[in-house]
Amino acid sequence: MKAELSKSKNPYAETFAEFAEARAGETPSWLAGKRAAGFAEFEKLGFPTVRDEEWKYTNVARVAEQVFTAADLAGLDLALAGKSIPFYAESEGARLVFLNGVFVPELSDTSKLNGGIEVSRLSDAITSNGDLVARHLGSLAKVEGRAFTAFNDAFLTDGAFIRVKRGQAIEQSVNLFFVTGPQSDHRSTFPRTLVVAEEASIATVVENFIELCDERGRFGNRTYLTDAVAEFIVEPGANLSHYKVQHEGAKAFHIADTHVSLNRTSVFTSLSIALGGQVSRHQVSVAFGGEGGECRLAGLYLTADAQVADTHISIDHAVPRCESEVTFRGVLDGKSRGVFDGKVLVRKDAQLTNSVTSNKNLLLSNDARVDTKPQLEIFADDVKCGHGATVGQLENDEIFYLLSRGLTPEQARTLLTYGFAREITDGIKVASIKSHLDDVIGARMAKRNTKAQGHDGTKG
Amino acid sequence: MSAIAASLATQEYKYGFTTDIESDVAPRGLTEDTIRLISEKKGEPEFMLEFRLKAFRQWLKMVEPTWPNVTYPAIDYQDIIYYSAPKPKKKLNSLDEVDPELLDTFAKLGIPLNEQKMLANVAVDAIFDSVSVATTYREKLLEHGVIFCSFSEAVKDHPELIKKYLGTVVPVGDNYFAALNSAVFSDGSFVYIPKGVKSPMDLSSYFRINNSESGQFERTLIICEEGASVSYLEGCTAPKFDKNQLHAAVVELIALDNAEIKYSTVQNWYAGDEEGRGGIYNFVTKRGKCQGKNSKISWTQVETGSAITWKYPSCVLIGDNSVGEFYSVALTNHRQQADTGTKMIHVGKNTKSTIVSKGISAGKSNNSYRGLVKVMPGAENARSYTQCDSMLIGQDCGANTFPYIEVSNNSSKIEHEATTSKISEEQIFYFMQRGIPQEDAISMIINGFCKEVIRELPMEFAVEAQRLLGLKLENSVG
Repeated sequence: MKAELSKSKNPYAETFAEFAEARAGETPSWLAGKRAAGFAEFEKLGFPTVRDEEWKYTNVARVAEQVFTAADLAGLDLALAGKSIPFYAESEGARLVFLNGVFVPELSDTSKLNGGIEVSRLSDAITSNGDLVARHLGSLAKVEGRAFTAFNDAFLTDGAFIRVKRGQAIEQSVNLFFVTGPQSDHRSTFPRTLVVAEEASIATVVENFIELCDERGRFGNRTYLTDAVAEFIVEPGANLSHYKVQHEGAKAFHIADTHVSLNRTSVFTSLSIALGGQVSRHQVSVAFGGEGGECRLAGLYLTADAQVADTHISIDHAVPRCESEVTFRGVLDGKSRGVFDGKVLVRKDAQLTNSVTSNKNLLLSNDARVDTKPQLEIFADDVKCGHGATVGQLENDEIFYLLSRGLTPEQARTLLTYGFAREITDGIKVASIKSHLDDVIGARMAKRNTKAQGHDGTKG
Repeated sequence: MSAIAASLATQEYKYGFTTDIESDVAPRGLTEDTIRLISEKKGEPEFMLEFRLKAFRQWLKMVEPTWPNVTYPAIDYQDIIYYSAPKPKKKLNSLDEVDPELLDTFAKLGIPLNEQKMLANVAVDAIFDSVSVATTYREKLLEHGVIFCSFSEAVKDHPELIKKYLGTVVPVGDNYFAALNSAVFSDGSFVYIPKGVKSPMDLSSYFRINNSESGQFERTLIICEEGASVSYLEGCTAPKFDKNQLHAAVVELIALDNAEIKYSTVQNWYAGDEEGRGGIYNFVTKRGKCQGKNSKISWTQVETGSAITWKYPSCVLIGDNSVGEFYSVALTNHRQQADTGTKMIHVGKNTKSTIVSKGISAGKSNNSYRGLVKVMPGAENARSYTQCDSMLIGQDCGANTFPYIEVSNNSSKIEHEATTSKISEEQIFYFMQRGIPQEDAISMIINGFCKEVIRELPMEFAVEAQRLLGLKLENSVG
């Protein structure tokens, strides 16, 4: 009912008018135009519903039925915030911190970087690298038919800009923190990332989406919306590694769009971890624009309670001789739901394409649910493409084996779950992410074991 | 680019002739009056007319589905003849009274209806345009209690069975084409296997479209009582016309406790010419219900014909320990389009399903597998395995896979695998250096690719299917 209402008259219309007026004359004219176009598209589309095939399994009615206002920094203790951002301290290399959508220079640090890379907030880059930003921003993330991308475009204010210069290999990773903290109930943020890896450069970018803990390390219980868009332009011969850690609060909504364009012999490796949020969705769109490109996407979604974690992958093999590999694993507990949709399109001329998609799911509870849909659309004959998907539970034989070695059933299950996730976690080269993930899996299994003694899904 | 380039020679469709026979034809178009006319012509009881009208009223409210991965010009449903039957239509007492013209037609199609000549151990129900012209071996089957007759006869002779089961697997409003079929279906086959009986011979129906303006809407209903089993075969051909004809059939299977139904299809409707002119639109709803414990329904299909195939033989696994199987080879050439697959709905405990789908695309055709495996929360220990392989021959064809997997409990195990590949030059070379010509090599590779499905077919059909695959692909590689 409310969703219907929001379609007829967009509840964000007034907010947008005020927002646009406040920024009139402040930014380059193309940016204002971009926002207006974004809002027009968003107004036209409204939030997607489950009747939309792309959103069949993920219901965002709860996003549509409330009105989020823009988050800000009012009343925040920045020093305290800095201390309580999870794995902020461990992050080596450069950091950009956005708190409630606002850039915080006090917590950010790019001094360790050499001249081979430019890392700045997007609003600064619009002045210093105007042409480059104008050329690339929104060149991949098209708003047509994508309500959340359009929504992000409409309220685009700031974000991260990274330019890796030609031939430069950057050893330190660049860490982006999009943190939502106190006073963020019913607020929204619109993180935006633009990365340009110039010819033959090498770099690592980490995107963290986290909710701020309190002083005791506990997460808040806030309902907020993160609507993120990231664009990665990988020029010929460049090699870009990307990590995305989504550890939003338990009641958060997280919708993220990642767009990648790959050029001749360039490589893009991405690892995406989904831990938080009541409804989270990560959409990755990869387009090959030059021969010999390689793309490896991996991910792990770990859900419990009534969480919904959705992963949508779309890979467009438009040119010959490219390789793509998609590996996603899900561990689902409670009444949670996992959704995986992996589409690989091989166009007519994309001969000698190699592509493999695999999605495996481990259901720890009888009420958990998985909907998986790996798709292939192939229009070239000389290709090797495959996909596989499985849904299952821990093997009784394996548990028995560990019990016979003296482990308790809880230990056995924890160990096997770790093992299942390791296929993904072993690929993490950033130590802080890896240890964080291990902690989360350990904590979840411990919680599960204390909560559900002998009341688990496995039989035997 | 390679020695294996795609060039397709015209392969004559040998079943493309028409039979010149006087027909009793209903006026073009579809209204409630058309439905009343069909029902009246067939002398149906009141409940059948009600069933049809209910379906028609639902159909009027529905829209044609647009989600299949196929394109075709809009169908004008008012420009179709919904009833066409060969004259004269008096009640036949024996095969001797069947129009010799018709017997000739079926003999030409390789389906002799004359009992001395016919295939031993296969009973045939021959359906010409809208009506069943002959059913063989009926008496012999009746000795075992097996009822095998045309649908119209079943409505007259066994209304209680029709009333009890018709529309229970595919409800009248299930989908656009099923609703249309329920409103206007003309004839089809009816099979009833009583408790504990194993059908003494394979049963089969053979469908033939003859009239260029008519649609064919047949209805098949197979009921297997407790512990009964049957193997059922279905074949089909149509003459070559430049116009497209609509074929919208509904098949319903019901298996009670420990019953087993095996349903095999070799579909060879006219596929249109090289440029995609003419051919049959094959929009079919096939569904089986494993109602009883330990029941089993197995679909095997070899789809080589039709301009467009839209068909998802499905199993609803309600009884505990019931089993659903789907084996399919779909071959498309020239400008054919196929969007086919299956649905396995696991409702009962310990239910199992197996899906093996092989798609071969050549020429400028497009071949899609679309499947759903759904495990309901109560379907404890359900097990499902899917394998779908596609092969592309030539650079202008497409192969797509759209599997949907929905699992709602954690005691089930679901696996899905799909691959796409081509016939490699190394494979061909290996054959040729052993003195096997390229054409034979390809035929052997294709047959090897499809072996897992072909071996599920009854013997006569398997031979026919292998020959068809070879014929259809002749000259497509080389």
